[in-house]
Amino acid sequence: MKTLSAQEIFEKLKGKFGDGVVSLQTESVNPPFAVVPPGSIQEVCRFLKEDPDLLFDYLVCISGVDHKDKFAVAYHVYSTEHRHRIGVKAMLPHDNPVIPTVDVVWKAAIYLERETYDLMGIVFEGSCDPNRILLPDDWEGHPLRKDYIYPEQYHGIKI
Amino acid sequence: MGLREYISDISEAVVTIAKGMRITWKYGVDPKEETTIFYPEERMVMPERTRGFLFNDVARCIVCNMCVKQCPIDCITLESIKGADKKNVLTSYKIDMGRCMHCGLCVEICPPKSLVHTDGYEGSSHTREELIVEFVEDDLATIKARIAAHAAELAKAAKAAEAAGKAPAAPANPAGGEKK
Amino acid sequence: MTEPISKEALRTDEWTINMGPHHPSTHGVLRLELTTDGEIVSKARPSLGYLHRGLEKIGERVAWAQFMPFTDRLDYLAGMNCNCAYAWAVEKLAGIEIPERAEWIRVLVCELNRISSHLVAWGSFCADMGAFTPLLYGIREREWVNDLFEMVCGQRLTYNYARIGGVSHDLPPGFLEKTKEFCDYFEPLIDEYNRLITYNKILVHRLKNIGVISARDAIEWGLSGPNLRGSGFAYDIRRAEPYSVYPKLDFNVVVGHADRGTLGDCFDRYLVRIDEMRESVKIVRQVIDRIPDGPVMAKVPRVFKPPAGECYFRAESPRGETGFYLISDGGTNAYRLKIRTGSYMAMNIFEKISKGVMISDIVALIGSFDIILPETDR
Repeated sequence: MKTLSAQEIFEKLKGKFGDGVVSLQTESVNPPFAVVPPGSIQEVCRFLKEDPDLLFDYLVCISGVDHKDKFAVAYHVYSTEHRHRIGVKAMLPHDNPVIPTVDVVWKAAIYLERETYDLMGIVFEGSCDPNRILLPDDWEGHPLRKDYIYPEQYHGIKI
Repeated sequence: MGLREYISDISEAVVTIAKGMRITWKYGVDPKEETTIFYPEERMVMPERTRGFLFNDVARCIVCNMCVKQCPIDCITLESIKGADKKNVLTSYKIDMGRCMHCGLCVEICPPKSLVHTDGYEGSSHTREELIVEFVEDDLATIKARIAAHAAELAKAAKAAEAAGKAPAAPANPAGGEKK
Repeated sequence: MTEPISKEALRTDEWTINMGPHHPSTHGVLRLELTTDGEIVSKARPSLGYLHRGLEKIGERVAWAQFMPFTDRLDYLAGMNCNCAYAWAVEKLAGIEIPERAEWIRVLVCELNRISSHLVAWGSFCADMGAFTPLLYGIREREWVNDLFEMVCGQRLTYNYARIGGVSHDLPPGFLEKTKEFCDYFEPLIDEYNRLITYNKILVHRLKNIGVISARDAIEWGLSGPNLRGSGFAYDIRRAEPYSVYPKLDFNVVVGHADRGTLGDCFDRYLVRIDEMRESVKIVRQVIDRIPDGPVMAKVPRVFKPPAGECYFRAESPRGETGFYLISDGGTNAYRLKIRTGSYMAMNIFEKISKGVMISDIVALIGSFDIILPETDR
């Protein structure tokens, strides 16, 4: 067991991907985030999981965040072996939020991605189960977006 | 599965069930405590901090609107008018007990502690409207009349003070009845 | 001479049936779409969302402190754990130090709540397995804990006890004595539970070798709490990423150890809960002995505005990891509030492990995960 600090983890990421990893966000953020481009999220996650010094085997949480002009997808990962943790963040454009799925890396991502798609409307490309989960399948809109307009009716039922 | 195993399985099942049933019977024959309360006749003594129905002592309420702002589900509504001495006077204080979730945030923040939890918990009603509790008993005209009387009293006192030649006089506020 | 019936003609049909949302053993409004061939389930697909209340959206619309009552509704059997987890998360975000006594009180009520939650989990699990008596026993002991909580905060289910910066009330006089009395009363009862039902041959046969999850799978699929520890993997956030005063306390992380069947089966998850109650009693006793005096509330401004920033805080609740991902933009309410719960992740693996089991074992699986639907649907 060798716990690494966020800076060391980021250095390792930087060493592997070079400019593929954009920056480390530590300012008033706990745990610190490595910001990566959405296209390389799968490779970054696979590296995080499989590198013997990192071994991030536990995907804690996937959250979508609506920053009004862009979306962010935040992955919190944890290593049960080394007991360190880090966040990985990808920024997506607001008009077409699409990101490759990570359920090929961690199975835990299946439900977390479904929830993020359902409530935030971020599409996870290549997901093995790209359906809504909490809301009905024919629900319109994604409620956690900041510009969501509350519907008046659902199938003639007043909400 | 051999015969030996089969029989030992059965005997183990019998033994473990008998063990469990012994405990059940123990409590059945000799209940350690009486747990039933004959409810309408007997009543439980509620603990001091019980968060039952809300009650607002309108006489002490200072109409600060804190409870309305604090309520996470907006179940408190109040209306007030300007009183004679620049303080607001309640004309209506309603709590929708059907929506109230007894979280106690309003009671905690109430500055004069006029809003309190009682230990009441029996609040069934036939309609939802009955669950909206109004704490101000007087109607608007009575309240206005009272404010007017208070204003007149204040004016009189001010005049008397002026006549006595003393400076500190309570400022009279004749403009009662103005809706907030 | 009749023709022999071909195998083709004897082919059975697969049926798709709904289990739930109103089914006594789904612990709430869970609907399972079962594809069955006779009694054998070939696929069980959970359909969630019947209890979706949009708590995350509510969290963005009410002030930080006002979200506290909603966390009670997150996991109604362990309201204290959710309360405290949210309070800890906001305090971490805002960098608030809370008084020592408040930390100890929080740990005390969290552990008491863990006991009461596991009691209901155990009781309802046994009721699902056909033994009704344990449910009554579990509820009987839970009543003690509820009485204690009613003393301290005035409610029996939706406690709303923690506050940002401490707890709402100090412990009432006589509370610690009563808690000690409860510990003395409760500890021998765990052995009685074991005699009553745990090693009952019927129960053991219904639970062993059912729903086996290896530790590797459990981590991969994001299980946490007793469900993960039941697979023999000692991972407890109270130890792995200690928060509050847990580092000062002495307790063991209970793991499954293949007591009757295979490691990681339903029986192991069941035993973990039973043994965890023992550990919780141990923690409660330590807290009673060591709780310091002092204030219970830090100075927090009435209009509370944490600095802009992000924070992910996780706490060990009875159903696994309760995590709050909070983003503040410096305003009076959260910019984004994401809740990660243990039951939700337990439903994730459900489809995988329910392949090829019998319908009655589906009931055992649901019970052994101890899911609670307000938590999955939020």
